[in-house]
Amino acid sequence: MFEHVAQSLLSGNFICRVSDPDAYCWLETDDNRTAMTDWLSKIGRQLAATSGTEAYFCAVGPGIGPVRDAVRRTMALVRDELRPAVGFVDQCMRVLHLEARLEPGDELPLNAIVQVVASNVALQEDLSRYLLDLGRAGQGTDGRVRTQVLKIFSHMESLGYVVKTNEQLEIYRATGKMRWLYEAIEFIQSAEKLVDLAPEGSAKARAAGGLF
Amino acid sequence: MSSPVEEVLAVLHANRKLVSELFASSLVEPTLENQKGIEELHRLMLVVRKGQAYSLHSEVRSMLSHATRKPELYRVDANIAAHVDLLREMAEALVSACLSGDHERRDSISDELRFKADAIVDAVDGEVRHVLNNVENHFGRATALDQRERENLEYLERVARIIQALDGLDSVRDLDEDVPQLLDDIFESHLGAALAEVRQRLFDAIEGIKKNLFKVRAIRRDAQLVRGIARHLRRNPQWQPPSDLPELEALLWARLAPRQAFIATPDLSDEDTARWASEIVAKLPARTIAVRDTREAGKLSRRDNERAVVRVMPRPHQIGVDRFVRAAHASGTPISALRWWQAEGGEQFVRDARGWIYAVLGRVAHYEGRGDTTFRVVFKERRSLCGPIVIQDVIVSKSGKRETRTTAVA
Repeated sequence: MFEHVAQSLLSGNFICRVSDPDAYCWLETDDNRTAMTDWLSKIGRQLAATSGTEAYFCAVGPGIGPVRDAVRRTMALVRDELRPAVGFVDQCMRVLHLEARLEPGDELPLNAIVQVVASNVALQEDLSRYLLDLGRAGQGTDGRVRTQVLKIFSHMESLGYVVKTNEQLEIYRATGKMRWLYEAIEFIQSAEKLVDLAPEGSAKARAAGGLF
Repeated sequence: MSSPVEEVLAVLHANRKLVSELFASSLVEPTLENQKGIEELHRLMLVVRKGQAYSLHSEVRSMLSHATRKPELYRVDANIAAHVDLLREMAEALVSACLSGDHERRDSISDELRFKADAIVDAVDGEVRHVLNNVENHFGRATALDQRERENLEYLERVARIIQALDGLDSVRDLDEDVPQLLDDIFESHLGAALAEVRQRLFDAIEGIKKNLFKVRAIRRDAQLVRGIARHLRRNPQWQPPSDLPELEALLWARLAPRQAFIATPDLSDEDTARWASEIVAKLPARTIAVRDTREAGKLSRRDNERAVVRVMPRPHQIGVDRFVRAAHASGTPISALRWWQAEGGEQFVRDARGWIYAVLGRVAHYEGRGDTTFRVVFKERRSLCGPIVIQDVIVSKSGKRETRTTAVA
């Protein structure tokens, strides 16, 4: 298992309960995690995890190379993945009427999503716009909602944000990489203040807020 | 003339047995008895037709579900207050009996008082357990945040009412000034220790409610942030994440940096380095290629001339990597990947005249008949992380003759 985990981490994969449950369980053991951390440090890497330990991944070690280079590489990655991934989460929240953002392990039933989108013209327009932004509008799309949705899910799967957990029923699940995305968003928000986060909720709840 | 709401309520009330039946079972078929009721409910769109049968409209079902949970929410606390009031009356009667010297009555009341004290403990305990159970286990999937919030605020009110009732108990206890021994005994033996446990559970419930309400707020804020960023990105297609952050913040970015692939950066102008770099050419797995940045600023679409990144990991090279991983793991001291490759013996070498190899792909094709093997090599210009990437296929024939073809320049 050590070899498998090491190679997976070095290949840039995120190891979580959904994407690779065996490897994740292996890393959850203290001894194994220590062994992996020690080994990665020998080649200038470190074992990193999202804040809630939903996913493990390999990051630049504290002593390797100029930090600026690592930053640039990360920026490039964020730049590449931020728009499609955030757009995907936003679309899923709207289609599935979720009040919460997608969390690792959340189920995304393709057929149900297709049904909802097919019955809503506004969502279809959003979907087409999203595919256009993604640069995949014309790639073999026959205009059918199902094909379009499938295309988006395939793309997100290739980026590592979802995995197909049920081939027959075409059910996908969000992976631990979602948390990494949210951490990147939090970081951007703290640096750039892009969104005005006014408190929402009922007046009663705001009043009760005084209790705590 | 009655309002539409009154009419709906009247019809629901008039057909309450039928509504109960509809609520309990998903479909009800019309019979001679319920035909009229179904027609009335259907006229007001309270039921929907499904083939020959009828079912409750989902909104009506949802409303009834919510309504039937209400008594559960407010179940016991009113009884506790009544119990406490009764206890107070009994305690006052006991004090009065003690002062008047009526021993028979005193004994009778004290027995009842003990019984009542136990009943109060049971009631308060049951109520607190009920609230605590709901608070800890019924937060559920956050698909209806308003409802979760409302429920937890109602639990909070219930807890406040229980605390009020317990304060009432304390005031009853203050009555014992004139007859300390008797009431003290009863309170200590029947309320003291038991209520201490109940109070602890109350604190747990309050903590749970606080946690749930904070959770609701956090979920709402997180969702708001994702939606806000998505909106911002839609409205500002040219926007890019910040790239010039202070050094301290940059370190945070570095922590977030995954996909730092297993990249070799040997200087091929050095003969020794060139020799051992040849091993890497043949053995590094294809998946270790760095992610190429070929998108134009502000656009998600890839350039037309971009080729897909090869993710093939041929078996011989997989084995090579496995061996390195095992060797590195077994080694007690730091081990250099490059020197290890060097010690393992070499294969054909491919070098680029311009300088540094940035990342190397392994063997991507092998033709058994001809004996040709194709290696794919990725170069980057020296000292330029953002410079062009050259992908070359190096075909090595059976005789050792090499031919290089540039397949992509990104």
